Amino acid sequence: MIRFILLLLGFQLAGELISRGFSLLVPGNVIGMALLFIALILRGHVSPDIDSRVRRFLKPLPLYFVPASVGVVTFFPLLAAEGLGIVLTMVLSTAVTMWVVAVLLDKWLQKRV
Amino acid sequence: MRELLASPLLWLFFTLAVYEGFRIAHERFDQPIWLQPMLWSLVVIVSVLVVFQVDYAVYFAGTQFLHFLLGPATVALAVPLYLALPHLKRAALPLLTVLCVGSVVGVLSALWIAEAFALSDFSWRAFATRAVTTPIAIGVAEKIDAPIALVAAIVGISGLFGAMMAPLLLRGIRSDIAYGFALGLGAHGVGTAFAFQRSATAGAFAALGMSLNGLLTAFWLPWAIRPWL
Repeated sequence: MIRFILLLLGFQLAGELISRGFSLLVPGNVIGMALLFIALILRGHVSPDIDSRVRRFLKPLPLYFVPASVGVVTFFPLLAAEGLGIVLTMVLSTAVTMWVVAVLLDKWLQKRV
Repeated sequence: MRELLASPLLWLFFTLAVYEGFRIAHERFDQPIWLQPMLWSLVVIVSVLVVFQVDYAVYFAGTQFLHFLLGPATVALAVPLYLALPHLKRAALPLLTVLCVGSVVGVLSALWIAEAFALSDFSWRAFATRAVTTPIAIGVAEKIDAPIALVAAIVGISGLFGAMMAPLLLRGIRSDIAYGFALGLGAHGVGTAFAFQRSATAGAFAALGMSLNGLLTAFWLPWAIRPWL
């Protein structure tokens, strides 16, 4: 358990040190993710223990967003003024992104078969 | 009583209880897409804070521990991504090419449409990371000075919209790989859960699309957007 926590925090810390040390614009936790990803490729496998701990840790991931998201409570004046525009932008840009990706990939994969 | 209101004990307990309540309901009712535990927890908690006039700073101080977990959780995403690599090899060139296109389209479509609706600079920034999964979006938001609360809410709610639109929007898509990859890339976590309802293949490629897009976008967006900030 403690080794699992040390593993994640260690990679996060390394990522933060690199991000801040070199004043990079890439967030430290993402650099930590990239470093762990590279380490796993070099190592060639994931132990079943780490895999099952990661699954359990990531299962309630949406819960971890709650404290930050509740901050919308401080944006009510903004939402009152721009709420409709914000909702329409969410709907349209999500639709465009999904549609472009799905159609391009579908066409390409059909052609290959 | 006043001290209790300001203690982590109360807000941590309340947040976990509300979330767990919705999670159980979500399971019980066969995981309907509209019953996302995180979004309904958000509605309930925001209402309680408004009704009882609790300062957000007090609430956040109490639940900071959960927020902290976003960092290690982002690092942990490397494990499912690594385990999904054999899927990537099934069609590496098309997937990686479309990933690059999708990463750019995800950012530009949100920024252009936000601009077309004349949204304030504040909201505009929050839309830059709309297509990126929340833990990564929050990290990027800190680097580009975007309001993280708005970022987290926009990402979560657009994931829900994406999953709700998918049956109509993607009805002509024949390949499960393309269907899943698009849902994960554009609608992140909620989209991935929805893709699993079509097939395990769609779900696996959704998870792949979500993590790859988050990783790739985090590397180019913060400096590319610099001149416009």
